[in-house]
Amino acid sequence: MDQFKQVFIEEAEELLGTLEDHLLNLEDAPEDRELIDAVFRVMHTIKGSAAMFDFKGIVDFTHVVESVLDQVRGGDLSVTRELIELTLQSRDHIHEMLSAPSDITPESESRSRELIGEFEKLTGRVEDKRNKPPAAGGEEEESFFSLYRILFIPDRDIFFSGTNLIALLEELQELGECSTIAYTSEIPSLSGYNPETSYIRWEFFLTTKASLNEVKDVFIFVESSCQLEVTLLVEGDREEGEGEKRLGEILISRGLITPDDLTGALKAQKPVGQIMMENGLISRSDVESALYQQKTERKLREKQGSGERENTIRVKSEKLDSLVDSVGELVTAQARLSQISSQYDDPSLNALAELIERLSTELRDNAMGLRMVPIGTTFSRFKRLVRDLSNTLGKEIILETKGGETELDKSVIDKLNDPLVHLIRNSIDHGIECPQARLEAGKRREGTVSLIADYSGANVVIQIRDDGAGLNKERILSKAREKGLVGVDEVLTENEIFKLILQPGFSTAKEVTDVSGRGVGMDVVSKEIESLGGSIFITSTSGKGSTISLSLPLTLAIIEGLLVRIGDEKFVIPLASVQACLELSREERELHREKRLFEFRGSMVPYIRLRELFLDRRDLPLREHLVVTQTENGIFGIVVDEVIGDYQTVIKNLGRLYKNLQLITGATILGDGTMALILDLNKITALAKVESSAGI
Amino acid sequence: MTRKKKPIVVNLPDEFQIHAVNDRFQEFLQILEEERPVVIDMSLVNSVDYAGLQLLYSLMRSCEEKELDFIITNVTPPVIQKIALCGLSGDLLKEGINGSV
Repeated sequence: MDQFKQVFIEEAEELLGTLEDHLLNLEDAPEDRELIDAVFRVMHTIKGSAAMFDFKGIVDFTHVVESVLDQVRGGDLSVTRELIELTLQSRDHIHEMLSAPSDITPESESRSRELIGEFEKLTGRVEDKRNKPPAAGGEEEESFFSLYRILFIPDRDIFFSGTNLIALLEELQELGECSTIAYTSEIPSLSGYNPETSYIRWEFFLTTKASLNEVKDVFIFVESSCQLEVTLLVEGDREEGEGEKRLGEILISRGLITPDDLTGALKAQKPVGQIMMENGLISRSDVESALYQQKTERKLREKQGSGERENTIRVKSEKLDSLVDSVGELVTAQARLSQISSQYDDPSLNALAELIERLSTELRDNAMGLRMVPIGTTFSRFKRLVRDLSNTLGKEIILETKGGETELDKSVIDKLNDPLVHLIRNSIDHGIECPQARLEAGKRREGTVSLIADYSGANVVIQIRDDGAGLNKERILSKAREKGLVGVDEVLTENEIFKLILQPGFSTAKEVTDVSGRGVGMDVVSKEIESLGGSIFITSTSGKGSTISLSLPLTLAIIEGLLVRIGDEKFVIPLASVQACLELSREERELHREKRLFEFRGSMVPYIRLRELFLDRRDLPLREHLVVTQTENGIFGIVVDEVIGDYQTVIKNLGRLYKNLQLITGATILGDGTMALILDLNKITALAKVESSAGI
Repeated sequence: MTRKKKPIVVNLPDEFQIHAVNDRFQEFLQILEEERPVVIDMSLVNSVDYAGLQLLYSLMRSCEEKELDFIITNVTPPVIQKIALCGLSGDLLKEGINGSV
């Protein structure tokens, strides 16, 4: 049972995320009927699911909110900013309650009462339309009942969804007078029976004042695991002159028959197909074929109407992690097989090794693909953050997002949330000006914060861009000198100056606010991004705004690497950073011996000799190779003894003992069982720059 | 003259729901092998779900095929309500709620 409760909590959390998105969109489009219906459905689903587990606190509270939303859906209540705010707060409250769904604490009860009170202030009183009993007389009696025909065919495996169908049928009965026809012909005798299969299909004739939506809502929990047709046979509450009245309606309005009589008469009607068959005009297979076409076309329409509905399954992320680990081991074993096969002149063995290599690459890509998640879900969460912060700070800010479909490894995305929150907060608090200041600066009242994601080689670049006041270069530099972070005569590039704001305790904010300005956060952002193997680049124009770009690897598990050798040691350079591989000729080596420069595509580029960094400085080989790399410190050449070739690199952490190792990001196991270290090019090139400026 | 076989009476417990249908299914299969009339006594049953009712229906169908009498008896009000909700009263309760073999 605990397992089911956990699934409920996970699904409810997802629904709350969807609810937040819908509410924020509804705030911008308060007349959007589809959004209003969607918001109602989410609340209804949470209530229904909570009821299955008897989470009374959540059921009672969501029931009230649902009733308010039902009034909105019925057009009795308008969507206002206050209503959105209250519903958002209710969403937060439900989120809190989900942490201990069985408990009703005094705090939680008090908060529920407080919010219900607020709703009552807003709506006059919370009218519970859905459970209101049919009126005994008066005005209500004058309005017509509608008659619906409902065809309900549960999927064969509906029992596995944990759905309580009897509760659903009870809910349907509560809407009005309901006649039930059970089609039982498919129930086999015990010899062919499966106790976990559903065989019955139902047809209901429901006479009710409920709307089509309200009838369909009864089946909300099972709509993905059944076939459902709800047809309005007789429409109640029709406006005068809106169309021709049906015979049944006229007879009821004259008091000649009751709705039950009509239901009975309609039930006695035969389907067209049956009449045609009885008249010998068509065969059973003709009917079945036509029904099949109808079903297929309906499915197609549903698909077109609701976008591509994908078949998905929920898998625990630990299982995916385990799969990726296994694939990593397989890749390592495959490398070993390739190495061994290369030592034997056996065409069969070589062909098999090549096949295994191809398959393992395919498996690796598929396994990694399973963990890729679009960043859009993370982006959409920030809409609420921006909305709430804008209100708190009295600013008017629009959040724009682009590239939400860009995918990143789930483990990267999970760790990206906090850094993005810090950066967005900073943009809103320190970047975007107050409306008055913006108008005075000749800008629009509303500031804009943009989140943009895009692929860049094997990396994803996420930009947090604002059109605010921009960073003040002079103030940053003067503060850094004051703190002793930069020498008085030290000359820094623009990016280097801006990156000073990532230093611990560095803040130029004049005021410390609740939102930001304590200098705690930006250094954490920097560390988090570094721990993800990413880098930060900052650009800013005074008065026009700032852009912080985060460059992140697509994945943290397996990367394409370039295997190189220095002496007897092998190293991996991330292939995404490699621009070219060249030979460093003796002449070139001699030509710029002191400055360590080489010519690359018309420019002089510095190089770093790994042998000098890791091994003996004196014992240079006759021939050396240059790997030209793009790093956050610019283009650098990495000089190695030999470039061995590309290599699928399964990244292994070095463990806690080596956590302070500066120039290495991890290790990988090679085909021959030896180890190769993975180089951190940004750190290596940064060190080289420091040594160069210090004249080492 | 053939003597009518003595029925097998199955007393169902307080709850007859999805989590118990697999066990009951096996029990019903064994009962059928005895080729005797079947009486389902539901006097103790207060809670039944769709899976339970459907299994009873399948048992009823099996008895019909073997031309064995099948009766559901002593049906409690909550169960009557559930059977009616599912639209199965006409079949499962055709002998009345206190039917006898």
